[in-house]
Amino acid sequence: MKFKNIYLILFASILVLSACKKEKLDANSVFVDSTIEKNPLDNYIYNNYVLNYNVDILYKYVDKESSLNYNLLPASYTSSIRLTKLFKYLGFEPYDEVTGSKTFIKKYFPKLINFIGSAAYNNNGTRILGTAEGAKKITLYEVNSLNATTGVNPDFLTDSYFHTIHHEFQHILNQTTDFPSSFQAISGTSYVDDVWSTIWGTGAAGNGAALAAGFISPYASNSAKEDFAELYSFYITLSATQFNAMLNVTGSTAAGRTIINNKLIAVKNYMLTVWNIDMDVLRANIVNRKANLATFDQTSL
Amino acid sequence: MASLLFFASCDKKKDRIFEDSPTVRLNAAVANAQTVLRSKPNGWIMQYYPGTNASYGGVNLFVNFTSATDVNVQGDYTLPITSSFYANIVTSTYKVYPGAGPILTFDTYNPIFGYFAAPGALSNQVSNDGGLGGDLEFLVTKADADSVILKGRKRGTRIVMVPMPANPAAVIASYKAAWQIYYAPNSYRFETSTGNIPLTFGWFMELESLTDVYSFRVTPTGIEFLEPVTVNGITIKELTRKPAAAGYPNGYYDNAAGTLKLVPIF
Repeated sequence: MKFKNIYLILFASILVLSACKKEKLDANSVFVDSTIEKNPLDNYIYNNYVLNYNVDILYKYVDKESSLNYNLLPASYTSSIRLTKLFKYLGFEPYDEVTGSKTFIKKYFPKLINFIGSAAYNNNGTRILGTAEGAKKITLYEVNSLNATTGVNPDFLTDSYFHTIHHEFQHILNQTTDFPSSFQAISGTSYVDDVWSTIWGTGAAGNGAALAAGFISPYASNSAKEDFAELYSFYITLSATQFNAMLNVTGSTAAGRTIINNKLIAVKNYMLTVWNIDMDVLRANIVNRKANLATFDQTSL
Repeated sequence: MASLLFFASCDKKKDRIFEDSPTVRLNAAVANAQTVLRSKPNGWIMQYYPGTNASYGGVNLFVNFTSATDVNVQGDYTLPITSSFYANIVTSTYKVYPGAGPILTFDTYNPIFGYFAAPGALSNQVSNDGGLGGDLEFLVTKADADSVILKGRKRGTRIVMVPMPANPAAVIASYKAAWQIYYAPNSYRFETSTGNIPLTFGWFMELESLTDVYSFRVTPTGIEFLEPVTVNGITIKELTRKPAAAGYPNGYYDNAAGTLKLVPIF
């Protein structure tokens, strides 16, 4: 009983004393953002990306937003303008038109797009063209390769940026609703993990060998989730002619194509049932936009 | 025990050493750095050393902060001026923002900084992923009218900026001409009374003997080492360029005492 009282008194005094000196909190945050003058591209991004899609573009290099393991170059202002405009034209608007509103992109697309001028070079000779982090951010590299000539070359744009963009976006859709495990069963134990870059050989012969094994690209053999994203992105960014040519490169086999087509059915089915997107309609939209690149204004803001 | 608790709970607040809060002081430092950078209409001469330990030598970059966001950059190592002061001048953007202090960042692509910051796959220097390792972001450790001292955020190299004197066009031309003269030979050698040391070019500006690497930048009057170096017992920080003389058809650089020469070999 005695002890109990002592603790009670102690406890009460702590409460009293800690409460006795109440301090008013400053209404202003201690973290004050510095104000930077807005230029025409800043205004374009705010009006077209932030307001419409709740997505922001970091085209000015921010060290902490990029990987410190690499030596990277900032994106140039002029290339950033081109990619900002093209991103909306080939990346967002096809989804807007197919789904009927901006809501789909606004809800699911990563909130931050980071532009880096150069690729991220590894010491083994490979380089990274794009990364996605936890559904929050997409980083695109080699933005400085974009100019008046490459900007109207649909194959360059697909290879350098938009294949990556749609590939990474597919990962994010998968993270929201996973694809059925039956997809993984199709190629089963054939996935090779990190040796994807060497196991098939290099160049065209490597692509042929991967296709013969039932993978649309060497990278698709990394894992089921990469396979899924690769199939999706190649399918919607390439015309039927281009995609068929890809399936029939030297070294490919009918058996490999059958595996790929079976997986493609699963990808299309997932997109239609989970996201209500017909991949053939989406592809037609993208291919049509690529055909009209010459008349698309990618420099005025 | 009761008294311990009593004091521990009451003595919550420490006296501030400074009058203002850390944020207020940091923001003031950022504003000061920004003001100082923009206060020189002729801009600054930036003594820029890329890479860890500054082992590839240094260059003079001529940076002029022309607005709250824009910066004009030239380098002494680019081709000599052919048409006008504005030849080889490249405009990009910069920003000063709060971090561990004011941080100066050159945040859009500028080929002059880019050459040093690029991975070797693009600059053909050092290694495929590494390159020269030039910083693009700097902690501003001091900013006043006489000089701005920066510290590279990735490599930690100390970089000094001094105000550009009057007549910048002529000053820049003299730096560029001096750099071309320095870079023209195939190799160099140190000459002292106790012997000669052959030197070869390493990556970029770097001069190296079999045992040592010498890091310096070229000035209109000669060359200035980043740190004092000792060659055959003679310590040097600066060498002065001398014209052609008997036995030295291409001139040479020497120290004030005349005991050490840096001789170009064609």
